[in-house]
Amino acid sequence: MVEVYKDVVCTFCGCLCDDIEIHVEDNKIVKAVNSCAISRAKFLGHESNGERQVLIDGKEASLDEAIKKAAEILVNAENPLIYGLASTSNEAIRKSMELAEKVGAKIDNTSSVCHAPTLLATQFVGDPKCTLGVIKNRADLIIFWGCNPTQAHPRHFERYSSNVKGYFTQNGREDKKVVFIDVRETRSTSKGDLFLKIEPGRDFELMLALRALLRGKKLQKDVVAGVKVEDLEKIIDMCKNAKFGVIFFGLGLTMSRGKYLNIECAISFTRELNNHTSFLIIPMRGHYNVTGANSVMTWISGYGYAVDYSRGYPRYSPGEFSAVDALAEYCDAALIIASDPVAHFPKNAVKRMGDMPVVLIDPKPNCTSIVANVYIPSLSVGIETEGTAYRMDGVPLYTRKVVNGPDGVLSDEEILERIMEEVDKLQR
Amino acid sequence: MMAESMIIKGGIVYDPLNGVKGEKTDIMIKDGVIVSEVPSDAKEVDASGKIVAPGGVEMHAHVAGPKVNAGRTLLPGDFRRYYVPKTDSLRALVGYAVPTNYTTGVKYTELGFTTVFEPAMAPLDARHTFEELEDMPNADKAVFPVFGNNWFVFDCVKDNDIEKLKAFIAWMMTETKGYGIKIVNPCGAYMWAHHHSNVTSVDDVVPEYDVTPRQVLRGLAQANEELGLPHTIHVHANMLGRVGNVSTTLDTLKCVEDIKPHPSREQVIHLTHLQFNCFGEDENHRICSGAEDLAEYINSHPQVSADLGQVIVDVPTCTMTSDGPAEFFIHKALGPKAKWINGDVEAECGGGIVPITYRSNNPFNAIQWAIGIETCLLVKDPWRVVITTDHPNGGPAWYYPRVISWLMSKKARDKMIETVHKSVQDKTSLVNLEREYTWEEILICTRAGPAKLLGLKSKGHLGEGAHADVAIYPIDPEKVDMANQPEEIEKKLWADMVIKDGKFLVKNGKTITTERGRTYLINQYYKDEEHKRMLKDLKEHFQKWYSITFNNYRIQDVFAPRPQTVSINPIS
Ligand code: SF4
Ligand SMILES: [Zn+2]
Repeated sequence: MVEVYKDVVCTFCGCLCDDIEIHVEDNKIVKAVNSCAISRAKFLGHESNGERQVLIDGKEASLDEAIKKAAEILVNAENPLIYGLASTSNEAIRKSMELAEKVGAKIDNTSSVCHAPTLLATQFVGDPKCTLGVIKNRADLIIFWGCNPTQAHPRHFERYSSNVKGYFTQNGREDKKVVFIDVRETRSTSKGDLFLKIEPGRDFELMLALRALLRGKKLQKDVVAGVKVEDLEKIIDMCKNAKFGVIFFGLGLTMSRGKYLNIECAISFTRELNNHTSFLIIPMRGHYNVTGANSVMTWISGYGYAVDYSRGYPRYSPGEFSAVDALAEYCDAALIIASDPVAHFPKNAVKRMGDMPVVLIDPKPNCTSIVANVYIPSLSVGIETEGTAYRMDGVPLYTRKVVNGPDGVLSDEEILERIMEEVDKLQR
Repeated sequence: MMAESMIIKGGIVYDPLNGVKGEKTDIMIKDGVIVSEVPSDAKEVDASGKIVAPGGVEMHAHVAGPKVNAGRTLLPGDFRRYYVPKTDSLRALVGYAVPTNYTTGVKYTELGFTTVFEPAMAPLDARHTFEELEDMPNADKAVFPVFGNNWFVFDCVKDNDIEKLKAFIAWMMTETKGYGIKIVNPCGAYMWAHHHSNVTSVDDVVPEYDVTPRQVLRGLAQANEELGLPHTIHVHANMLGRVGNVSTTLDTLKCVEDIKPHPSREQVIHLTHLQFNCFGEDENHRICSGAEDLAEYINSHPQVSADLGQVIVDVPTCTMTSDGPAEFFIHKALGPKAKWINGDVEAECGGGIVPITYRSNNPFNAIQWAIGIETCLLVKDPWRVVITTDHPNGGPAWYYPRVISWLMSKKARDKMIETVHKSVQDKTSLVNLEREYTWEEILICTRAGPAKLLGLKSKGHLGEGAHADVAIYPIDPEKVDMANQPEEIEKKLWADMVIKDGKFLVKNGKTITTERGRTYLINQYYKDEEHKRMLKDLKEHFQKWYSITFNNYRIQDVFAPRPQTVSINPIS
């Protein structure tokens, strides 16, 4: 018998599409309707995740043993780090924060290597934004800067931005102008009305030029950052004449030279455009719940990432308490939740991870398993267990359970709860 | 800890709802409620020489949700202004103007408040709001979803289809676990999000829908009274923060003058954070106080209630409202260094956040400071005016003791007037006001009154059957002359003991434990045939204008783990 689950939330990218139809036969996902290719691979392939066997030092172990061992590692460490969180539920993130406070850990999420500059810039200047439905209904000018939705957020165009029909945009794409700004041509850039190819690392300069033009200044040059000034003037005209414009930006802006300065400049440009017309700016967040990770950490500690509890209350210092820095410098144990730092972090951080006790909680083994002393498999959020996640614009959705996970495998939230119980025993 | 029987002995009890005005009497508690008799082994609590009052009721404080959290992001320094490491029984406390939810819960408890309402939720953000509320311990809570810029409301109002509007309201409350109707800058937030403008009067027209703020206010008020929701419409009027806006505010109140209140009450409208909407305009088009006009209207119109939105000067805080254009205006007014967040929500509402420090030496801010207490002193009926700072918009709620000292002591006011800009002396009537609030009146304005206005039958009093929420303050009204010792008020309005549902939360002025509070919510659709008719249109509406599916809108029961359903009582 095939069971059909409608309006399932896809827990892959920050689009968090909530219209997926999942067909299940004998506890196996056999079909995913409305999914993009990535989503389909995620849903249909989720069982080929590798064996979900609890491991201690590479050897099979029981869950109870692993949980005890994880608690011991955290309690015995001087400077433990908890890291990951962007691909799990808010419920698990809340528990992680509680655990970090209990053991006096540093706690950080993956935004520290993607959109942390966005947070920093927001702390400086704010962030004029809206939900994606407002874009759908209203935006007639959409600028994508340093991002490639076709490959990273495949359904963004059709659901939220350039191709969708809305209240003021009943003809869809025809009612909108779409601009791409990027360092290279991508599968997205050809879809715009205008593509500005910019020299790598010079986004800040280009943004400043745009701000100057917006303020009516004449530029001394004909070309800025590889872009003709007349094209920039064209963009400024488009912006001023738009009824409602939006800038979507990605890692091309946050992780290139200038980092948070680029974002601060982009936000300030957006603010100034509001002297003429409606203009907003939205980050293209990658992992499906990285927005939730920032949000939960903020309401529990005051800060969105890079938090330290070693003094019993939260302190914030990006560059010091952020995972890459903490791992490379002084952490002596790590609990990784739903993430794979070994695959993505710089060499010195990875090297030190090899020398310290590491606990990994993840639905599937990954490169970090290689260095992990304890591996605890967990249920996959949005497939085998439910939980809350925030879309890139902050809209909160409740993800579903469509199949049963393997016997004896717990959710991240439950595992963290159990670790905390053990920690309590050890600390008593 | 189990709720035990106890008897609070020897305290000076104030229970305005039951006519108890500072009498030495005992309060008895059993199974979490107030009773008239307890077993002989009931625990005795010595409250002699202390004020014993019902737990405070906060009717309007922004304590949870995306706006509050964005405010935290804008104020990283706020978490270094106040921090207390975790202890064996409490988690870490951090943050001051926009603290963490945990800290907010603990602080309110220590103020003696046991009920806290979050007054502005974008319905689409309900899950987030409830997640944060869940992390705020102790207080019983509820939220007001916003309605005044909702497209479906516009549709109903345009067609004058009040039955459909009633069905929609009941549906929205049920799906998002709401409690009351909040209206923020009706039509104005829509105009901001879609036309980069605002409305300037109750008769401006929304072009796409051909409706006006007046129609929206009237439609929602009528639907609300006919539905019999526990509270009236809760209104943040148009033109917030603008010089001369008191005329718009009076127009707003007049809009609903002829709407018949539900038989359970006399009111039809609650004007929130009145201070921000009570600016007069002098002959030079500069700000002056509109308090006299507003208070006169409130005094002669029993269908109106209000809360202050008192400003606290020289304390960094943060404005956060669902009023997009007002926040843009504040951000522009504060100059290029002001941080600004905008937050429009599809088909529903808007929002904005701007950090601010009201300055005592700024003539505009000083007048704002005066307007709150001035109006409070001019309104005769304490049951219809509630003390708030619109936390954190006017300032953190932790300044309630100081606000109360200004109300109870002319000496305290005069001292303050000397330190703020002299505009207060020319542009408000504050210096001429002699009134000093009594303890009874203060306790009406902070618990009995708001509980009644919110329709909370078990709150705000100490009669039999009420929740055993009791705040005990180390003040002996017979020994201390508050009018002459205002500093005492400020110090001692932090509770010595707080009991909630019959359990001790605060002893010796310190929180000893935390508990999970209830969530008051509506969980009831309107008449079946109207509900179905409404739903047909609503599903299409969702399909067309929302970015999430209809089926993912309703929030799951896990988001309110201790629900307390309040029934609505439609009149037919
Ligand atoms: S766009 Fe992202 S969220 Fe949507 S279906 Fe594809 S992977 Fe999933
Ligand atoms: Zn408010």
